[in-house]
Amino acid sequence: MTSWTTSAAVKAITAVAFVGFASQAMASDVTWDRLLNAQNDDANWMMYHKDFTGHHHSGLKQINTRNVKNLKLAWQHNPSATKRGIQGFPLAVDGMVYYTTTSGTIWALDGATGAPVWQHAAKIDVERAEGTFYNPYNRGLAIGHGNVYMGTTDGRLIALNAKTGDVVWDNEIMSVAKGNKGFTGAPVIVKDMVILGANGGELAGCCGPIYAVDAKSGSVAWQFDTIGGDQRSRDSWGNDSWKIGGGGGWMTGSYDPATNTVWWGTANPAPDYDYIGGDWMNDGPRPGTNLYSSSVVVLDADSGELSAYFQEMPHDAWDFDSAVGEFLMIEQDGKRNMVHPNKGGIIFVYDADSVGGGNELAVNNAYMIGETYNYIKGVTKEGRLVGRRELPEGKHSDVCPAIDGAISWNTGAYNPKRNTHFMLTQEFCFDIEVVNPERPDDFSGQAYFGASWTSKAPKQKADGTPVDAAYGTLQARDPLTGKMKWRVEYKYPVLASLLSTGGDLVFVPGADGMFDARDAKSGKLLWQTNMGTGAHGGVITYMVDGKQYVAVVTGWGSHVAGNYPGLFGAPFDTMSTDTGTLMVYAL
Amino acid sequence: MLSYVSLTSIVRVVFITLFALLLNVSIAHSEEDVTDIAAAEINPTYFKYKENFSVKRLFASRCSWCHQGYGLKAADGPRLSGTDKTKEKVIEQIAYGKSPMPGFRKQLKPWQIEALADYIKALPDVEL
Repeated sequence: MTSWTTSAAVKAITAVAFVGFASQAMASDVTWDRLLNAQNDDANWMMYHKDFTGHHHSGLKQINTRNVKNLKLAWQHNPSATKRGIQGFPLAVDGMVYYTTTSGTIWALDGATGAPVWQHAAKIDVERAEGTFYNPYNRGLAIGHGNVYMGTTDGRLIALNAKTGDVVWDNEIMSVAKGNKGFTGAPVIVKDMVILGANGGELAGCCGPIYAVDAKSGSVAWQFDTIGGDQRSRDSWGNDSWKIGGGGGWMTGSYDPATNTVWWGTANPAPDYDYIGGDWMNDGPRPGTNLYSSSVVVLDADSGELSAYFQEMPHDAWDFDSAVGEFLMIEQDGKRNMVHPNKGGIIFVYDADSVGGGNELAVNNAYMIGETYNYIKGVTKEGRLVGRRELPEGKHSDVCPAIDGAISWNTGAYNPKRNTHFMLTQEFCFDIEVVNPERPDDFSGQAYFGASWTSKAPKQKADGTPVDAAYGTLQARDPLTGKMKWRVEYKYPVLASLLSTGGDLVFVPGADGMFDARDAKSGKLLWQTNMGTGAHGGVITYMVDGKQYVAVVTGWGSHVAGNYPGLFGAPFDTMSTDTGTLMVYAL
Repeated sequence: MLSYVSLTSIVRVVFITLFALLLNVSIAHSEEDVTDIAAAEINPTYFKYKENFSVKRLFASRCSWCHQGYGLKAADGPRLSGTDKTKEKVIEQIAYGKSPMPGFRKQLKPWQIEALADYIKALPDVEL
């Protein structure tokens, strides 16, 4: 096992330059053709969702159900810049591993040894970046066209030479003129463009843009405003409230080559919560449905024009947005389905071919996976909410789930051989007092909430079963029908992403730092190790020189994680929120 | 004319009644939301800037993402009730932030920042 500390890493950047040179010699460029066919390349993990199927599944099976008990730490990297833990998703390409830590720092390491090859720390406009609550998050990068691409919390997109780490271009993409702030999500490359979306659902700004940036020059090719971008959107916000309506697309979406469309989930409207209650179509701070907040938008990849959409939370009254970046392409019986989880604990199954003309997507199915919800009574198969629990001005007890949702922003995984979708839920609630907030100045970018709350344990499940503590679940389901195959309960809701492999394994990085490998068929625990601190970032697998590795980031500290000390006490009441490590395991 | 015993009894009854009333007031007081008590103390000072100003409404609009229960419960941000910071230090932190807490000097007027600081300092040292 090799351990690299930060100081050692800095020294090693020059001292082990030959290692970098050797890796550079091995590395070939990540072309668009390679990205387009990434589902056939299991040795590498070349984009946030691995490939455009969005399955987070690798066919690698050197590590499998029979030998996973022998899995052990191969190397680890202890970086600097880990405030609020590491939330990024590593990438692995041709023997190299790239990953980001907080405040816009990228590390390039030898994938077999962990030896540092280069590092780049973006010079962040701290005042702008720290003007949001999302500081200093960074959730990953994109690689292609000879470069590595990273968005920053101060609204820039940076291209670095993938082999050397030298800056190719560093451009401010997003202006603050309309109250927008920056990027925290990983970009994704589509053809010769880099796509990424803005954060800011809770900020009194407009218009939550999603950008396509020319990969070579760094200039903006197109921009789609998630709110206020077209007349239909503006008409769905009374009193010009779209000017302070938040929106955005802060997690990484996907691309469907068959229809040449970008699929992206959008953020919630501002203000969070609505004091007017049930009369929200006519009154309150943002009268109307508030398109295209808390929606899935499907954009023409070449022009950025709206090809189709579906608003998963019409007039979102709970901050259960659609920003979850997971889009699973599943073809069955001649039908192409796009599966998308919503923060409110709902899985939407879209007809992937119902695009074009800017119309509403057709929904093949929708079902609940959250267990303790009471903000709605349910969802129809057509994706319509049933029995909304509005939250008018005043106090409301035991609203479930809490603002943090039943599904967080990290991804599940899908095993295509078993047709099994592995998903996590978090089951806790809150007491909330909804207020009538003062309307901020237009485009001011101010924090804009309409409530104060206190998180708490649920009292019962939606089916009435009593519950006496907050908890989480790992569920294995048929993604199209929702039929449960197995279910494992976690004492502490898992916040990290999941990994599925051809070795019939599902890897689960735990909130308490325990890293599990489970049997994909049964959910049985086959291997477990203690990583030393909680995880709420990415997990991948890759191969170098015929050896399979599993890489996972650790580190704790975020809005959701902030609930854990109050809900559970130890170990979260003493868990560090300024550390994090890249842990890499092999046989 | 009342006898000494009767007078003593009356005094005793009055005393017990007063005690019971005080006890009731005390119980009622303890059941009252301490954030409402703190806000009621602070709000009038700022009516000169805004009629019917509500510091809790301001707190909910700007601070609730990280500080739960109007400041009584730690979450992504710390519990604010019982802070040992001086009012001046609280003002400074609201204005300039302390990473990862954003600074609010460009979002809030100076009197709003001061009102929030007064409210936080007025909160009793209790935790939800």
